Amino acid sequence: MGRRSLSAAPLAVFRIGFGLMMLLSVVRFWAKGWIEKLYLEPTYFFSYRYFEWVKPLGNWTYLLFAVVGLSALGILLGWKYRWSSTVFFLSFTYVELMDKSTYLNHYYFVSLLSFLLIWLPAADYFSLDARGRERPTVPAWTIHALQVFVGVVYCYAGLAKLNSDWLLQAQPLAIWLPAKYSLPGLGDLLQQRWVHFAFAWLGAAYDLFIPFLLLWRPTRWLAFGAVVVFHVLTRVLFPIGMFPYIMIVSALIFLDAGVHERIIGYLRTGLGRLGARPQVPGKVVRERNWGLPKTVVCAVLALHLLLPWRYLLYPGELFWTESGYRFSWRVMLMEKAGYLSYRIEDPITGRSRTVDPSRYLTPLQAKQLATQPDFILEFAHHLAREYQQRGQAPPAVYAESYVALNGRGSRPYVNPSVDLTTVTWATPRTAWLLPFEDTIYGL
Amino acid sequence: MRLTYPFLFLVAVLLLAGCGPDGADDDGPVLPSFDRRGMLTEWADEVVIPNLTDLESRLSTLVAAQDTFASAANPANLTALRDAFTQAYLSWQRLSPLVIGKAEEIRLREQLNTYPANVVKIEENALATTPANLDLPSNTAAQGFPAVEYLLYGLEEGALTTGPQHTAYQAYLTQLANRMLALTTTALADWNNGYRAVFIQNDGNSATASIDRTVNDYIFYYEKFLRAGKVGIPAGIFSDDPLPDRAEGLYAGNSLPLFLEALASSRDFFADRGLARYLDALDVRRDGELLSARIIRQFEVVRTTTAGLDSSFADQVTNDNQRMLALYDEMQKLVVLLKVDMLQALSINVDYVDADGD
Repeated sequence: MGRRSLSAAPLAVFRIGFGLMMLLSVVRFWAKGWIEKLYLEPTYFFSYRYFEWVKPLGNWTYLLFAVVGLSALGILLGWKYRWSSTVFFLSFTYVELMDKSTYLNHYYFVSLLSFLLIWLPAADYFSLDARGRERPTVPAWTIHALQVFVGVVYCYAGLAKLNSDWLLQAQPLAIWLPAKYSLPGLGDLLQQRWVHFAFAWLGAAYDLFIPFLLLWRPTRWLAFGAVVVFHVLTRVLFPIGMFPYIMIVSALIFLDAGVHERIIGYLRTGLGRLGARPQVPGKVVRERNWGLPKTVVCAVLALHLLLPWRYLLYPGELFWTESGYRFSWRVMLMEKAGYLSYRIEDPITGRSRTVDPSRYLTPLQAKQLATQPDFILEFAHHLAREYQQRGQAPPAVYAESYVALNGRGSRPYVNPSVDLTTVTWATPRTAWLLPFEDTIYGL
Repeated sequence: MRLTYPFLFLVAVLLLAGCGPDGADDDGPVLPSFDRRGMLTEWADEVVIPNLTDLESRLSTLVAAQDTFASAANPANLTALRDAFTQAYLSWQRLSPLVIGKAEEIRLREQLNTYPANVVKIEENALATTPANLDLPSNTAAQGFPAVEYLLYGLEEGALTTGPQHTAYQAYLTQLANRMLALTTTALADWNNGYRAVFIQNDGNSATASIDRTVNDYIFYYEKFLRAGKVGIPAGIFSDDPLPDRAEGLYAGNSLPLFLEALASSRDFFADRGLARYLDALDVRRDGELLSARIIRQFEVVRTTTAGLDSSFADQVTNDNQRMLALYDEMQKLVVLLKVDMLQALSINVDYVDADGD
């Protein structure tokens, strides 16, 4: 991160692309009725630790989404950019924290990236804020920071694929791909075992090497073509919403400044007088102090680099216990299906009854609950509290559960003789889950 | 390279993607290693339509037997009526795993077999001066097989033949039987008038396609109605104590034959009508054994666990609930095999979840 200056155009294009993608995402989410379905209909919401106070706001949730959308528009236009990006980061992150069952890696990507953008001078050029006082250059580190950020996401996703399930069994692709039998042209191929392996190995290689191929000038356009093909293919094969487009737009940051200058040139022409840049003569453009932004960006990137390795601190197989699985760019690595019911026992009479959690939850929530230990524990505690509130003695809560992971047969999951009300989040998961009884080699 | 070419390329590919998953849905499928359309055809032609046809014909017999009984309420005609009822009830059990299409839409299962019957409501309806409106949700538990069963087996001795209210009871019985027949006819007519083709053509892999929906319905039936309804709830799995009055066939005392018929129908659907073949075509093995074989074996274990059970599950849970609990445990293992292992292997989602993944 030297003192060099680069063209401000790549940052401006990145800002516009990001704002546009976010605006479209909110509109799409709203139009599909998911605000109602995911945040108003459920009666129970799963919380992240330390963020138990973050809950949907009833009908005000719509207003919250409007704020997300409008701040995305603010980012797109570069209007009061520091405020727009700050409001976007806060409102978007609030939405993501409302219910853990909607967690997706790409939402985390957006949250972290939008925080980074607050500290970058992305509205210094071709924005409403910059009308009359555009700065044509930005410090080089601001662009490099975004390249590192996006590059790490790919690289870590690639590293996570270096495991025996992915490379030696082509799992979980071997489960997912054959089910796409009705895709025109591809359906037949996807039944072939060798195709599963080809997808697995090429996918891992793509993730691992694409940042470097994008950085190296001779392969840059080829790599960008690969980015487009790869993400379009994932869009066709898997229900992953806006994510492929967001990643394609993000990868633009690797392209030469000339490309971005030309994009902005087209946009200026298209906008006519609106896009003109009348520089106010004599206006002094003050030198800025980059100390704080640089420190914050470095801290975010350090977190970004370190957080995915936290799983090493926990005992047990990562895919089984999922301790440290989230926030680590582990995408498409697991096909995990489960069955779960609770048994609630009155400690005084010793009588017990079985409770089917799907009575309380949406299908999406029930699906997440069945395979993820933190969900299972949280809901067990919730059931115990509910019984106590009805004036009954504090009950013991047991889970009967089975999980099938990446094509292995279903196995008992939670130790059925452990009273989950005696377990806390700090208890190692290996102490209350049954052992995995298999080994997955690799990172 | 100038910007224009990659840009045009980008636009072209994105447009292509736009027509991707949403456009490429259920038409013109390729059938590579396994004939999915053939399986759907078999489900329609060999399972759903014949079972609905059989139920319709048994219910016609029931209506006729009720007419005969109404004209001459003697013991012989009552026996014939009860026999017609039992045959129709068994036929229902065979249909029960796949109540799909129009049958699902008109809530055939709820209207034909909600138990325990609401006896207070049945008495009220039978003795009212005007015929009851059976479309009302409050009357769901006052009709169908359990209500007819109550009238045929649950009334005091002679109440249906010579008692002071026997004409009222018989009139309600006629109303119930006619309604069951009419509902079944409606469901069957839709299958025969076009829905069959719709069902078979919808052979893609989306969550709303026929295979996903049917398999989900089939597993839902197994879990909620066969396992929980017939066995778990009376055995007190979901309550502090056993609930004998929740047993199916409470008044006729024939819970076991009804259960066995439903179990056999569920097993046959899996083993003989495509799902087992489908799993084998994908070569799905668990611990070295074909998953299909394991599932079929577990169906057999469930069946043998019923040996020696009282024909009345109400009596069974009252006298020796341990055996019902043992039956439930074996049935539970099958839920896991079907719902976790089979659905994962076939990449079918549990229920339709319309959301993004990553």
